[in-house]
Amino acid sequence: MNLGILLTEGPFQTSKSQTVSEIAKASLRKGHKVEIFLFLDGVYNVLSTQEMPTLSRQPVDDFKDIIDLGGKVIACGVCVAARGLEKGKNFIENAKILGLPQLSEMIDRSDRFISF
Amino acid sequence: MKKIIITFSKPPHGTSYYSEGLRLASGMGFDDHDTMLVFLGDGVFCALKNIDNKASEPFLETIAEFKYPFFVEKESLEKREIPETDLDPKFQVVSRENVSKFIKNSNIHIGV
Repeated sequence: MNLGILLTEGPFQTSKSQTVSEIAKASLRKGHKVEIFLFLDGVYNVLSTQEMPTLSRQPVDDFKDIIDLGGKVIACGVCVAARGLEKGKNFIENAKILGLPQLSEMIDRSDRFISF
Repeated sequence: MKKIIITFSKPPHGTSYYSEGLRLASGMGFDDHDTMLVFLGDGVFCALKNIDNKASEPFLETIAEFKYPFFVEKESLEKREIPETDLDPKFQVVSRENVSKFIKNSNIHIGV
């Protein structure tokens, strides 16, 4: 199954990014294909410079796992620019910066699509 | 091509979900998806006449070109005591039962 996910919130504010990463990893381990589109503050999930001192693993580590398991992670370019994130200079490797046409294509490929 | 329903459940003030949801909707035309916009819960405040649509104008123009319909849920309006005469004319009032049918008949639901 091709699972598409839209994530609109960043880490450290609500539990949505954790929910998404857990669903994504569980799906990938079951052999499904997973693509995640990061929208609005969701783009913060792939910043490699996260550093919450109370955590041994940062939320971004879960997104690295998703990519390592074969998942695709795309951040909305307009959202990245709006937040001054310098074209994703500090994003994790293989997190792509694209646009809404790619979200539309992702939706077209998805058997199921969920949004958070 | 998919049948997409985008639901708006937040008011136009306080967050950027309204204008950014419209931007997302405007992007669905790239693959000719059959898209509708449904406003429910506090999202019905987005349907009022004369809200500030300055940030959303480019997206509303694109959505108008694609002719995506705008629906607003009747029960959410009633709960908030918003009369239909206060609504922007592009919104069609539909019952919750019809919203359920829209969701059932869609392939994809995006909630903003």
